Amino acid sequence: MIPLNGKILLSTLPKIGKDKVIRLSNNQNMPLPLRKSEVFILSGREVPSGFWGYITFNDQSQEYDAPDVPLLCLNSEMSHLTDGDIIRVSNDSKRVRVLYRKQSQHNFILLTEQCNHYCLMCSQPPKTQDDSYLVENTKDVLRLASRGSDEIGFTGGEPTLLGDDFINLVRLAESYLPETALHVLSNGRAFGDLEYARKLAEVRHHDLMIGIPIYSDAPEIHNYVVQSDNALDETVRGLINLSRFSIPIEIRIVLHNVTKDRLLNLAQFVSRYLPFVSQVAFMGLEMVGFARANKDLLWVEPDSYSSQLTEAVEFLSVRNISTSVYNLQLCLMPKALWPFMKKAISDWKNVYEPECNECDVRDKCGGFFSSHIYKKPINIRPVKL
Amino acid sequence: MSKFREESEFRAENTSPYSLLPFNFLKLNSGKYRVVTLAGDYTELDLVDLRALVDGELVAGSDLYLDLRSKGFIFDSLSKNNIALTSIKLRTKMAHVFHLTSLHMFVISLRCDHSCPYCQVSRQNIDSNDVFDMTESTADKALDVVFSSPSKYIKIEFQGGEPLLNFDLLKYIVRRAHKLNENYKRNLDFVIATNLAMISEEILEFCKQFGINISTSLDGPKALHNGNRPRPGKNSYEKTIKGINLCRDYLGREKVSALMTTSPNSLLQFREIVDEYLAQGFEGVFLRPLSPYGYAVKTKWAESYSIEEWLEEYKKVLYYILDINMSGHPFIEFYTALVAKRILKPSYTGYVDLQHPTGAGFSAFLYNYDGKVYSSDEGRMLAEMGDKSLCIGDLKQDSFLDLICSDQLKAQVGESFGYTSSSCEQCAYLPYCGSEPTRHHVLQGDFMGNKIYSPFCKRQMGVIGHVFELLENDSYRRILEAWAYDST
Repeated sequence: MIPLNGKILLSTLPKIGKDKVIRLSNNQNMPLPLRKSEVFILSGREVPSGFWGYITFNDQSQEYDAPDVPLLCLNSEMSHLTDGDIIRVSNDSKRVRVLYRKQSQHNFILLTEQCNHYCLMCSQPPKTQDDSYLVENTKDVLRLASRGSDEIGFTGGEPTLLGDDFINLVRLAESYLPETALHVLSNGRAFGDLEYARKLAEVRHHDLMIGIPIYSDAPEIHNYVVQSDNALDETVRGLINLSRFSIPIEIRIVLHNVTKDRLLNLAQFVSRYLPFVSQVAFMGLEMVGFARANKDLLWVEPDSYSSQLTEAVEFLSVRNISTSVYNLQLCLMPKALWPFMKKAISDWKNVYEPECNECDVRDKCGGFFSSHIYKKPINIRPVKL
Repeated sequence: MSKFREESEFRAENTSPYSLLPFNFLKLNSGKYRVVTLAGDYTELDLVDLRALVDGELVAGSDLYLDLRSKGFIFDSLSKNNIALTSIKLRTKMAHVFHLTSLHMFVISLRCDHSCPYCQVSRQNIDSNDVFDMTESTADKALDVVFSSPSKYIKIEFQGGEPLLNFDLLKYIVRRAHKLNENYKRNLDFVIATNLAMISEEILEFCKQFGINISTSLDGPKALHNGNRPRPGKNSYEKTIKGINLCRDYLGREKVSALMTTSPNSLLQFREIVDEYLAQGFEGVFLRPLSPYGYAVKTKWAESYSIEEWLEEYKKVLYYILDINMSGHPFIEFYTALVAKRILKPSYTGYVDLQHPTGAGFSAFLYNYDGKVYSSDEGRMLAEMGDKSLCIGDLKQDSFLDLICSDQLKAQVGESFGYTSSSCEQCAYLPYCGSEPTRHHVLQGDFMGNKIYSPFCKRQMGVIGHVFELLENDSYRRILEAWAYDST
């Protein structure tokens, strides 16, 4: 597990009166004019001059005889930070948050914590207070992120609640990262407004995909899961509008006790009315946020729904809809499902169990969310081929 | 954290009763009913449930209720989208109506070296005077019409007679179409319907250069084929097989396809026909029944077997084909695949001969050698037999707009639309079916036809019903799904 939040042990960085988004560098030879806006990661005794600040881990700061350089000292668990990463330093100089890791394939940028859904299993429970600073942070990240990234994500909350600001962020992503795919997690309801969908299309992002959750073909079940009336109807309307503009769509289905019974019906619903979607993702439950609070309501042993899941996945895949299964362990699922199971838990929260060391397919298995300590499937066992 | 709302607060019974969306149904031998929505989604119900559905007595929230609502049989206050979803799906499935004419058949010569007794065209002797060949000026006018169609896809099919007997004009048309298309920028395709007796390396070089497809006739094993398709030298089979292989050598396997026609002699040899297609390396076969036009009428071949006999043999050989697939060798019966697509897929399936309203005219025009334009291949056959009612105009004076708006075409379209056709509107299989106005016109004197006496209807009911039966068997279902989703 790679921590993305850290305590600041000591900061002598200049105060700017608000949070500061900064990019890290370990390039001692960076041309001087560029150093003003970067923070240098100290590794040896070398302290190249001219950087906006310097970063060090734990209490190594003692070793440097340069007390007058602006210094940020973080706990050593943050020492994974490296060249090109982007962090936010809080205004009160107490905390840093990692916004972007250059080496990671899992950079999701939080656009807002506000949401018009209140999902039973939300891993990022919504908040209501003003968080518009996140939009400004995101703009900074997009301007600073390295152009080489394959993919970045926008997440929330519900990003479309930002209205035109959301469209604008997609535009910035296209302008500053013209080779990088953009994956947006949204409930899609806002696109029920054809004009809003049109605005998004008019950005002409070169590689955009909107990941939209549908938890059931039955509106009462979907609406219950997301805790909002009319949700499924509005989401489906949004999907249809997105398809009018040929914007690629991923359908996301979180697997738990409330959603597990109608997986085939849901697959049929997708093929019947939404055959234009690019891909469908079935995802195991992540035991964080509300999912932990609603554990008794939501938890179900994944192997208990494995045959229904296999049926649904095969139904879609025969129909040429690209289908994947995430966050479940190979040992709990039939081999027929293995080709669809992807290793995709974000690296910073991906762990394995002691049993896994004995397993012949550990390397192919997605493993666990670090949060699985709150609920570990009973039948986890090493697979012997 | 604020409180979560209970599941019960989201249920349908808290809101309002349900309404019906359009559907038809059909009683099965089992006593159950096959119920099919306007958009082609289907289920099976027993009489009690069917009555409950119709009478508004389904229990809200029951599994049956959720299923029927999900499939678009009903909608309630939670699923108002179902109306829009049904209309979108219906519109998708009937896309041919707004794509307009994409298939353009050019009869560039009526002359032919074969003298097949079932020929649906009134062919002319190979040495006939060239009045039976299309001229360049007629071809020019036809191409003007072709590119006036708004369709993004244009397929030009060369027909005869034997079109290779007028290869110079064929080349002229292909080159000119290419030239015109630099401006119009459509997806342009060519296919030559030929018996291959006259195929040569020179012709194939030209086909390769312009990506032209070849469609030929292969009726089955040698004796059957040569019996069905006489030509001087009695060597049609040998010439066809040699031609097929030469085409593959030059153009690639997927550029060559073959069609068979069911003569009275073929009917009891379906299995041998399938074996022949397998042996010749084809990926499937299209078991077509005879159409009652042209020489097929004169020789009474069209009446020589009943549709019931055809269906029986079709089902038998289809099991044989399914077994071949189960043994691991993919091999398609294309008509079955088309019906499976119609049942399983939400998308449009573009087969001109099975549409309602009719694909004739809407999807296809035929330009005869003499400049007359017909809405279908059959139209010109009827004209040769003296019935000009399917002639929709003449290239001498008519534009695309004149042709597509002609009274003759309007009559066919109006009477071939299933939802306003008295014997189709209540049929459960209508979303999967077509219309064949020409055949009903020939057999019954009007384009709509009374389907109770229609062999077309009998065949459709038989084939569609059979495909449904096969879908209930898991192994067969997998094969049909593969046919529906893998083939184009």
